[in-house]
Amino acid sequence: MRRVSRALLDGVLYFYPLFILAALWEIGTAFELIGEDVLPRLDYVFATLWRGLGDGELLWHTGVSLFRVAGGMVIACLLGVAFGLWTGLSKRWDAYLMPLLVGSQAFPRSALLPLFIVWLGLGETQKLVVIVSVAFFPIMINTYEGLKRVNEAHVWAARSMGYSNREILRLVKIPSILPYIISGLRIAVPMSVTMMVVAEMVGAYSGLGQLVIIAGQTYELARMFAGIVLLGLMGLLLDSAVEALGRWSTPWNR
Amino acid sequence: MATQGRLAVESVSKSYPVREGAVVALSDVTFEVGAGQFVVLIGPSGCGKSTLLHCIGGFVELTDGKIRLDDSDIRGPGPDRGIVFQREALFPWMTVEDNLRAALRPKGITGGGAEELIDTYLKAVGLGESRRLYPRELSGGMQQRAAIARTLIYQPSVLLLDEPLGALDAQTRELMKEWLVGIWLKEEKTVVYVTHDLDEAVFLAQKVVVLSARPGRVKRIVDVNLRYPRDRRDPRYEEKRELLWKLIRDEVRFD
Repeated sequence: MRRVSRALLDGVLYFYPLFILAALWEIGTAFELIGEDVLPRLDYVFATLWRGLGDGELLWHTGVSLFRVAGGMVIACLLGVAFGLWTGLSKRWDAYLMPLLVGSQAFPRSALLPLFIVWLGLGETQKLVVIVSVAFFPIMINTYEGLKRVNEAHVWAARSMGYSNREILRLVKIPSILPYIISGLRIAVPMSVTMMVVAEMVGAYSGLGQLVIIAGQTYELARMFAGIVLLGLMGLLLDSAVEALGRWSTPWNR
Repeated sequence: MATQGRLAVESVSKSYPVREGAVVALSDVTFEVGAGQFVVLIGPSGCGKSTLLHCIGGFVELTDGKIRLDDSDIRGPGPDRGIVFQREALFPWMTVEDNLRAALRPKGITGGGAEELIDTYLKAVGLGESRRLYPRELSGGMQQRAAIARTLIYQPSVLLLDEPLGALDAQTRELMKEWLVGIWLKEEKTVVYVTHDLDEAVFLAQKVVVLSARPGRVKRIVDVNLRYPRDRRDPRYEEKRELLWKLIRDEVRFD
């Protein structure tokens, strides 16, 4: 019982800025200090949210967006780790590929959105490509940096035990870079969510980004905020998921 | 007595390329280590004593000269020489017992045979209870003992210790010195031990190789013919310590 109340208190302490914001919002709109054209009443937002989740419509958009971000991140993770290992382990491919990869990172990918639409249409492939184009780099560069920072003493110890270079990759290098890959993923989460929203706003038939922009254009502020709340929760959920993945995959690194 | 683990360091030089030219770390270093002998390399910081140990380990290529182990030239790392570093020697992502298991795998020792050895060595270093902990969950002294167990378990004939007590507090260091003497007497292995601590040298070594400031050369080889465990109240102990300090004192400079 005490532990439960303790956890509750911790939760309140953690989220208190949100509670204050919500209280100000509700008071401001309920007493009409803030006009309805600026902010909808918070209880309307929650009513819209509740109804939309209940009849499955908001749930559908949320699911579509979540699928896009998660799918994009999985692909970005596979590609990022592969390229990070490739450039990190081979001096030659480091020289060939790194300028290209760093250069492409400097280019604003959002400027390419119309081009992606022309090439790939408005379907899921385009959404995944757009998300991968931003999520790839932080994962790749972290894998690469992680390899550069593998403790030489560990490699030497393994070598003197009699392990070959290939075995050392699996025994020493991969576990050494795991924490780096996880932090790459954590950086990639908000970038992916942002890019997904932008892509859905520019051209999509579904998803929370599309819902938010259409609600804005038709002046349905409560619906718009419902979408925004869900996007915020999605970002939080994905970050927690990556953090949990980190704790699970690197139990020594607490 | 040990029959293997005789080392001959012959005219070894080592220089590193830097931005302009090269730094000479070691210059014409020659000495011998008998099988089963405990030898300490001592010298001021930056004298190349760790580099020399890494050369013996085969991790660093020589610029000149050669190092022989039981009549064959050292060309790279190998399981005949085990190394323990000052800190973070264990694989942090493995538990203590998995660290030891990893050391046995290249020798093809797995299953029941491995478990028996792991049991023996963990007990020998007093870590039987901590086998399922991660290195981070151990104290500094426990980590170093586990690292030494991980090296002993694959039966190298030479143990290379690179300031193994350097990161420990003074009291733990005292206990570890006594413990090291005990384990060395029992295991009968050649030990090459790098330190800048004079007391470690006199307490542990049969032979002390004193290196000069960079570039490291052999300044003097001092034999310490005192019985183990050594008694610091013995006047001869203090004499050796004084002698070593005199030799090193001229070499030490304020940076």
